[in-house]
Amino acid sequence: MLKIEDIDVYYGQLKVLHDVTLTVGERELVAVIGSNGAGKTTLLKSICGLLKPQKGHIRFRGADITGTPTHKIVESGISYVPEGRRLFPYLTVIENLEVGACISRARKEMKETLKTIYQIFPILKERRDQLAGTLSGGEQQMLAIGRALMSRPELLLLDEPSLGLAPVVIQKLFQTIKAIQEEGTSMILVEQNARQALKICDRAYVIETGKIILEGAGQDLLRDERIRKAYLGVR
Amino acid sequence: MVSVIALCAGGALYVGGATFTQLLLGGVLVGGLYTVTALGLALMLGVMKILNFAHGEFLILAAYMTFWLSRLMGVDPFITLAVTCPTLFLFGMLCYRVTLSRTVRKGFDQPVVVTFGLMLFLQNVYTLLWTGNTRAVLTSYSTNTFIVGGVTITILRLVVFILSIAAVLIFHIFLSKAYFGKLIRATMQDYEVAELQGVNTSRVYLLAFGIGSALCGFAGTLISLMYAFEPSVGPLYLLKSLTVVVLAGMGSFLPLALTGVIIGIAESFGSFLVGGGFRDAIPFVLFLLTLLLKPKGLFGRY
Amino acid sequence: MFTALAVVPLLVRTTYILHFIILFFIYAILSLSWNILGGYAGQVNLGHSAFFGIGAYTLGLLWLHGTTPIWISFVLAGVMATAFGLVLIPCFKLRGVYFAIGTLALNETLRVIMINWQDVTGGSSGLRLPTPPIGFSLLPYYYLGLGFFIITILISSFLAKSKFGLAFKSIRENEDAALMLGVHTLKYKVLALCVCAFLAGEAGALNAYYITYIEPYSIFGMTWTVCALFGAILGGVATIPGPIIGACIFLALSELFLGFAEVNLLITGGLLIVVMLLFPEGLMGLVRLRRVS
Repeated sequence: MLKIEDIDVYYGQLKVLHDVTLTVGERELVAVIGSNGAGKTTLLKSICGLLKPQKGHIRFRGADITGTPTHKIVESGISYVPEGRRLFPYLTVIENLEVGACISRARKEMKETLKTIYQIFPILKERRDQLAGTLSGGEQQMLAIGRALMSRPELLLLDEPSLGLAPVVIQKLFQTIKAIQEEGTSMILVEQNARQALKICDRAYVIETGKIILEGAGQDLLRDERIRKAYLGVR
Repeated sequence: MVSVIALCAGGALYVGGATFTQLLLGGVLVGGLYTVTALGLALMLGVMKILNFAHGEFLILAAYMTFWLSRLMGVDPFITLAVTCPTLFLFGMLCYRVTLSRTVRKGFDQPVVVTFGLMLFLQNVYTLLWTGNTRAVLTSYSTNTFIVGGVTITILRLVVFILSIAAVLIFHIFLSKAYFGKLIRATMQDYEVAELQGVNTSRVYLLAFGIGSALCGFAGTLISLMYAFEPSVGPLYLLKSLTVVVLAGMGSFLPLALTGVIIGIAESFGSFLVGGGFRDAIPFVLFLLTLLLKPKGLFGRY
Repeated sequence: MFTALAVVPLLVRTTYILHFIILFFIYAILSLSWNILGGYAGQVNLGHSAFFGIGAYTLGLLWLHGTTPIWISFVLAGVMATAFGLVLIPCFKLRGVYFAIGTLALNETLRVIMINWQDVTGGSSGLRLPTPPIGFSLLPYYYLGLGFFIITILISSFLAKSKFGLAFKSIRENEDAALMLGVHTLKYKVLALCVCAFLAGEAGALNAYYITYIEPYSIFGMTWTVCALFGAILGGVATIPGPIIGACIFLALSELFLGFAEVNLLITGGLLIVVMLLFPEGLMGLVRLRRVS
């Protein structure tokens, strides 16, 4: 459903992504792993329109979305959970969720969607009148994902969701991510935590200094020697 | 806190009880108007980080509209609110669309010069159209007063105060309960992420500017009732509104009610102590003091 | 260009042209001085007329009360303006818009005080300074103006090309980065301020000397700030020819609409908007673009 063709993305004069090609199919969980600064966040930002590729195209369900304004891309069914969560700190939990349903299609179904979100993340219902800035790290991550889901996306982009979370919380997090995929949402999961990401994904890409260097099924990459040495901390 | 109370007590003894209450009350009533005047400016500043140097000119436009409507058509000034608010709403959006929409998010300098230019432009348009003569809106009931406990209260001021507070409350409710109000607050806190939720931030900016201008329309009409005005009076109101905003700090809008009243009271007592000519300098001094001592304001978040 | 200007009064006898050029000198010095703080160092100062007015009043008062020789009065005018400029230093704590408003507020406060300080400033009736006898020549004024003009250009060029100019530029582009690189931003801002204030004060003194009438409402008024701002922005900030050209245009506009101050300012305001939106680099920027392509 998503096809990225040969894109080049620049930060000012600096070329950050080189000839990147990537696809995501229906109900697929695609992982993108790589070290810091490899260009993972840049890739996601380009998909949702915060950055514009100088070369190449991004197609979503056949339509060319390169250079489309961000809010239109969100309307067409892509949702992005930014790195570091970036909630609206002075809005309450429920207000964050409500804003997440901004697009017209989702606003009509807001009540229904809220119920679903509360089922996936019961703690959010408990804390719904609390200011988002006062939540714990794990709760914030849940809210961030919940907020992104409020727009009922077909493709969800997750940027380093496990960052700064306790291991116990991370376990729960990845379980939830898998569950969301099973409900029918495709996902691109960008992670530094390569092991977990490769475990739950269908396919994965490895990116290094702005270039895709490897692609394959999650299980295969887990067994790949190069990956094990570089990203999984195995000698 | 203790020092403030001591000061007040000392002041009360110095000026005498009745005068003290009179000045205090007068200050509070004016303060309400100052708050609503500052509201539009605060909205624009908060959402778009733009300081509208032409803020005063927007106010004065509404004042002139009220003046001409009541003069030429005999309409009661309060009724003109139904005209001034929507007109300023549209006018504001027009100005924004034509000038500012291109300079939003391009740093500080460009919008400053643009709104400064807008201020110059409008101020002189008014002078050309309506001359530099001082105008005021008077009604048959402008000077009615009633006395309560040795203190004289002008009915007009009281009505203006009540309307101002009502406007502030409605605005607050809009921001907290209405869906679009939440979108505005979200955009204020993080416009990039708001865009990621599907919020059309360009449209939010346009409408926020419109709403801010409508608030100017509201305040401008009230100002025309309370004070005389002429084209060059704009910057004075800009600075007064700015003082209210800066003293409150950026973040939420409710503190503006408090700081508006503080400024009103300061002016009231200040002009009593220092003399009328210097009255207009008082907000400036307060403004400078705030910027230098407490740049984030009393309740600031950013 | 200087030789041309120096020679002009010897050839031209029309008083009006000389008068125009003298005014031009004053406006140009005002613009150039603003440019130092506003253009090069990037601190938009909306209270420029304060310096102008203080310079004017210093000269005026010293001259009126007879004793001080004129040359010293001129110097003192600049000094007093700089002294007031130092009051602005706390404003440097503020960034961007807030600095601009701070300067505006200070300017307006000064204006209100000056208007009400009747004994010193003559209130709304202003000060009348000794006028030269009828049939006087404009030449001394001309050369005085030219002299200051040249000095201002020299100082501006020197600052721009020196390490100060580099420091200013770094502050303008990204103040935080400059700080982290060890640039002592406050020191440089103060320096720019002092030069700026001094020169503006001289322009004010010149104005007082030539027009021989000052009153607080207008001398501290927006018009002078607008002149400086407009000149620098239209012409091109952070360049030398920029403010000069801009000042010339501003003057031309004001003379064109003499008596119609409102139309003049209206057009000025409109032009400011247009310039900022379409070519923020000013006219000099357009020239540069054409050279590059």
